[in-house]
Amino acid sequence: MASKTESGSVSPDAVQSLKRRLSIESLSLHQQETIEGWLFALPKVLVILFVIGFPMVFGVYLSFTESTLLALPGEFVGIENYVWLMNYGTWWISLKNVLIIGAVKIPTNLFFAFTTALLLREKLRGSALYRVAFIVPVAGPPIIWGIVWRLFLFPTEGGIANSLLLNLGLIEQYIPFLSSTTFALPSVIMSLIWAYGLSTLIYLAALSGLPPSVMESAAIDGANKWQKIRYVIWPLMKPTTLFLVVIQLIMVTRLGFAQVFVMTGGGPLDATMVPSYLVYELAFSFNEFGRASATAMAMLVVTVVIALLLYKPLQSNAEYYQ
Amino acid sequence: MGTLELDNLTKIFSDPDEGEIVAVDEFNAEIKDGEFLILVGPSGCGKTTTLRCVAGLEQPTRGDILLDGESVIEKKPKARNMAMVFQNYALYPHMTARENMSFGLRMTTDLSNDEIDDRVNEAAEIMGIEDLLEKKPSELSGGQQQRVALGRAIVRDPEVFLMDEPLSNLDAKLRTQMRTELQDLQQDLGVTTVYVTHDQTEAMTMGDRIAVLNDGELQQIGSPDECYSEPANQFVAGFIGSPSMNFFDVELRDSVLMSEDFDVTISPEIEREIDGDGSEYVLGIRPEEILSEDAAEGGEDRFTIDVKVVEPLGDVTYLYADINGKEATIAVDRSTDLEPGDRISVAFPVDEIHLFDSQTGDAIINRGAPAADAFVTEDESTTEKTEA
Repeated sequence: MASKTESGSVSPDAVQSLKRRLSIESLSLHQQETIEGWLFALPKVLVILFVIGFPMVFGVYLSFTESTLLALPGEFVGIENYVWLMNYGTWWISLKNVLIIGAVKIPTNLFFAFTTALLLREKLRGSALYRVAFIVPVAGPPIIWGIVWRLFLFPTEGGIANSLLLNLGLIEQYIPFLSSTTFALPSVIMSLIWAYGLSTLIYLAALSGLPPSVMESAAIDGANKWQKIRYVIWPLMKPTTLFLVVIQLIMVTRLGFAQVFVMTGGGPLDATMVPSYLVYELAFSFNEFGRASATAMAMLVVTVVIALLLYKPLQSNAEYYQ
Repeated sequence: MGTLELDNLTKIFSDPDEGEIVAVDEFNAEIKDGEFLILVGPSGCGKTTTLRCVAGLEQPTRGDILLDGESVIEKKPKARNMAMVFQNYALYPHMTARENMSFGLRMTTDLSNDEIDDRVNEAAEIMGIEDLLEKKPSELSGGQQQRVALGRAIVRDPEVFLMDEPLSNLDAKLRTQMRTELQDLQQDLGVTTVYVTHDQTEAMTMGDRIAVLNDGELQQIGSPDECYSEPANQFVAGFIGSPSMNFFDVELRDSVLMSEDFDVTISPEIEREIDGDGSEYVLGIRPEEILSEDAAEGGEDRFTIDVKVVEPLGDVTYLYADINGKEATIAVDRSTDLEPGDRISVAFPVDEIHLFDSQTGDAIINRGAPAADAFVTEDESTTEKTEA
């Protein structure tokens, strides 16, 4: 074994003798570096394999089995779970719902984030306070905000929204925000839209990176405020916008779990069912771990397809990052 | 027409930590139509702030800016009919060169697309960038970007060009080339130009007149030659010219300016201008005016120095030596075979010396003759402030 010096560190002699014994010195410099590199990376690689690699592979395997919580993994059934999923109406509804949510949420998120960032950029009194205010919805756990929205919209006399609307004379009877198939999905979308603080922050950072001289140049060129935004700022924000779109599209299949979980439970009549909640329900309400895994894998496929579709446009827009 | 007047222009920035910072202090200047004025000074002297005030990017605290006799101070940048060229070019990265150049016209005029195209092509021809019009800034070299930026300025046919160190991001060779091109361009177009630089050479070679600024105050405004040979004060004397003028503290005794290492016998003409025995001055002499070796031999006030460093630049060689405990620079012929450690005799010819007031720094004698008091003392407050 390598002997230790008094200070506790391994002495160079000991390292040399160890190297000789392992005949590392007979390897080329490149090979030695490769081995060193792997040794440095190994602890992280092991952790990643354990917390990401194993569950993923296990999840894929589970999707081909008929498993319950008490029988993990259960009997191998081939693609039966996938066949079942393709014929399962609720899956398609959940997919449709999440695409609707994404189609509304992403553009509104970007619009609000961009306009808010433009406003926050102005030197307004108390702009620091506003910045914090817009970050709060992102800073808190979604589940808390889901509960807040449920209290806000819940269709009883205690519901703040209904009480307000009724007392202001805007409606004549309570609107069943969360229990009607008409209003439930829009209500969930509402609760998702307002948390655009993170995108605002990213836009703010991008805006602060705009070279001041370019903006001054635009002022001397005679562009008014609107023209500056339309012809200079917005085009220069394109990489940021694209980044935000891509990030949100890739995560679209995961949208809304916390909100649906606390506000509607996927109902009424699957009106607010989303894939992430479906996976949860299959696994923990129906004890169908095999089917839940197959659903999760289907979500993964959707995500990968979206990512692949976006790969090209993202590449071609890399030019502004100089 | 493009006559630009700065009338007591003052810009004060308030800083929460440091209080008020006077960036530009009562700047007065009249820039004639078609004139090329250089604003020069060390970093933080207020030259860029002055330019930005003229452009309308900063609002002056006091004073006025007049274009052809009309105040533009309340006008927005776009209404001032001035074009600015920035140090980093400030091109719109997402637009082609053509779009960059036409943007201003599209924003401010009702010209048709054809007319805009014509004007862009014309400007591109002047700048020699016809082939680059469809390229984006990221596809252009620094020099090409600078040309597009200049093209963007001339396409608008402004009354005044404002240029903020437009050449400082270019490499040395290209800078020299663009310097002459820019001069030609300015002469051809005849547009009034205010040009900010900290570069000696640009200041000396490009402009009709130089305005030297320091600490927000105008030190001197005049032709490059005036500023060089008749500096208004010690600051201008030290700032204009490279290498800098040498300065030494001297004391007058019996018609002789005396110091630790050397004496200079002055003429009656100089003596009339200065106070009597015991008065103290700062003597200035440019490196190239110091007589050395054979040339110094005949002179009465010659003294010897030990050469510390020899710096051959090709066209001229500079010697460095300690005089009165301060490092002094002496220019000698390039064919010199002097080496460090050599002892040589030098002399300060009396008709090349400058004398500055040791308190205020104001020039009293320039090149052996009384300094023209035209500029310096017009504004007494400047002097008072320096004294305080």
